[in-house]
Amino acid sequence: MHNAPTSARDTQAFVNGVRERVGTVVVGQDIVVERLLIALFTGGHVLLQGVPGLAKTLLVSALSRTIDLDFARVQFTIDLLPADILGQEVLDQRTNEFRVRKGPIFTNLLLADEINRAAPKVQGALLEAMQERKVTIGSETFKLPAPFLVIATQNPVEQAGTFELPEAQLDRFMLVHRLNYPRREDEREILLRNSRLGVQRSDKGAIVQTEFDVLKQAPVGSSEDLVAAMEAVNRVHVSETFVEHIVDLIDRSRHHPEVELGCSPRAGISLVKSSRARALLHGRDYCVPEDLYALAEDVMLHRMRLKYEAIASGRTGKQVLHEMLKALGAPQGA
Amino acid sequence: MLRAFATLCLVFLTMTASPAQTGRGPRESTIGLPAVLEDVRLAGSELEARKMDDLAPATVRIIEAWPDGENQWRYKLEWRAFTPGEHDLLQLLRRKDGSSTSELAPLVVTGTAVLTESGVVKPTAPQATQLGSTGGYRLMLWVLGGAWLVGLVLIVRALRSQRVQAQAARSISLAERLRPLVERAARGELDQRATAQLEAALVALWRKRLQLETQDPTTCILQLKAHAEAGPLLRGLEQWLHAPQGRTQVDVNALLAPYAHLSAEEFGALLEAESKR
Repeated sequence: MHNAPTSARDTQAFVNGVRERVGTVVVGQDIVVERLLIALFTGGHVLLQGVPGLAKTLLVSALSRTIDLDFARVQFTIDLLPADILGQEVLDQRTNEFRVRKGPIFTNLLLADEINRAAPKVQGALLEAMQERKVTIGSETFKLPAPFLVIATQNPVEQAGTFELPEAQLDRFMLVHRLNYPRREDEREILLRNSRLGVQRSDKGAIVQTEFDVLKQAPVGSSEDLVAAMEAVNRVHVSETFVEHIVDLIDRSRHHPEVELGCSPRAGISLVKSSRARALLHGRDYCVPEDLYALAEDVMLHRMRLKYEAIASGRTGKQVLHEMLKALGAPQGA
Repeated sequence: MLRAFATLCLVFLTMTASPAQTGRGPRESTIGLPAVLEDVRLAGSELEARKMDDLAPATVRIIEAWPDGENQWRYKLEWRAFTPGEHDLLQLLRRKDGSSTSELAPLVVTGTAVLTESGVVKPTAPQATQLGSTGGYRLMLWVLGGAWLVGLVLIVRALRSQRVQAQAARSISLAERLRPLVERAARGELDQRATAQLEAALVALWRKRLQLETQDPTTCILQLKAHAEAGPLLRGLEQWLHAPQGRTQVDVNALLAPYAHLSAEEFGALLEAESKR
């Protein structure tokens, strides 16, 4: 690391180890791994948007096993209840008393698969827990374990039978990353690796191995490494000039003629936090505009809503955001 | 009583049996226009129309004739006057058996003239009215379409000239806002906001110079930092503006030297030349 403290160098080694280990299972999703690590280091939550089959679940599973974190996965469906995630009081027939049975949310890494398939009250329960990091079951309040990271996924193609997350709840996600299809060479590598998977004998029969079966190696880091990384992120320097860029960008989102709903202060906070984490991941102990440019889309796009006229004329939030980034520093309206 | 009733019946019969001038129909008509008298009862033998010459003041034609009791005929007559004034139609009739018609009362009709007595027709004075629209709705549509087209052309030209002016203003504004920032930075007078503007303006300048404006901002900044000429400058700028203070000594004057000697116009010309390249 460039002039970085020793602990930051260790963190860099830890990060590289995680990336390499995840890379042995998941191909061509380095940016997504980076975003997950950013969220993990800053205590934010991530929403991954992508069509099925882009290894979202595998990626999160691989990450949890690489850092030795508890991992739980909840498939969101229309009939899911808040108690199915948070937990509930059940009657113990031996003692004739109620006892709390904690839900899958009590974990370090929670994969909320297809979050938009659940009813709004379930989404609301999860997002509230994400924000407050504690859950009340009956009359008792429980703190969620640390670190606690929710990685939610949603499929942008299928809209039938889904409940779109409103802006206020999307705002709870620090990052919303849109996954793209892998590049041609990555696609080739995926196929080659998959073809090398064998058959695993089990009981009297055998099952075909999947990528999940490969995740059997020991973790490359512990939760202590993770805490060290989080502390290192907090030491990353943020210059006033960098803050000025963020303030300018957030302000532009609120006054752009094609934007109906601009970014909240939470977006600015998320930009600073995530930029610090990205700087660390790229071996710097200070943020530069490159971090802002790289993360603006994931941090800001889900917090902006275009006006109807702009949407009707074929404009996208991405186009408008790119224009705002290019116009940074120029007088507004020029 | 019975005598009185008999007297009344006699009077009635006498009245209904009146020999002539009992016809129905107009006794007055415009010259030249025919009129028809019906149920004209004339005593005596049957009558017929006299032969008349072209100068006859009136003509009569017996359309139909029926015997009407003893020694009386009922006629349907068509008459036409050619001169104004009264005419006795009986003068135009004669008995078929050649007997006289002198015992019959005159059957007078009147021809009225529309024209003046002098016969000179004075045309009606024309009334002053507004001229009707020239052409029809097709012409109106053509005119409206033409006007719309002309308006459209004017609007497009105005918008285009505005865009050209805005582009010119933008290129100048980039240069104009960069030059004083560089000068103030060299003197160490920049506040944080102006420093951020300076950095963004230099990135914008290089983006334009290297024709990377169509790239997305992330790819663009990575390419700029990897560029042989722009890379060192932008990395030095990052060190100066974003690294913790005292970490590195950056010579701001040397860093901004390539831009310090350029005037606003030269910046504009430079940008224009780069964009045309």
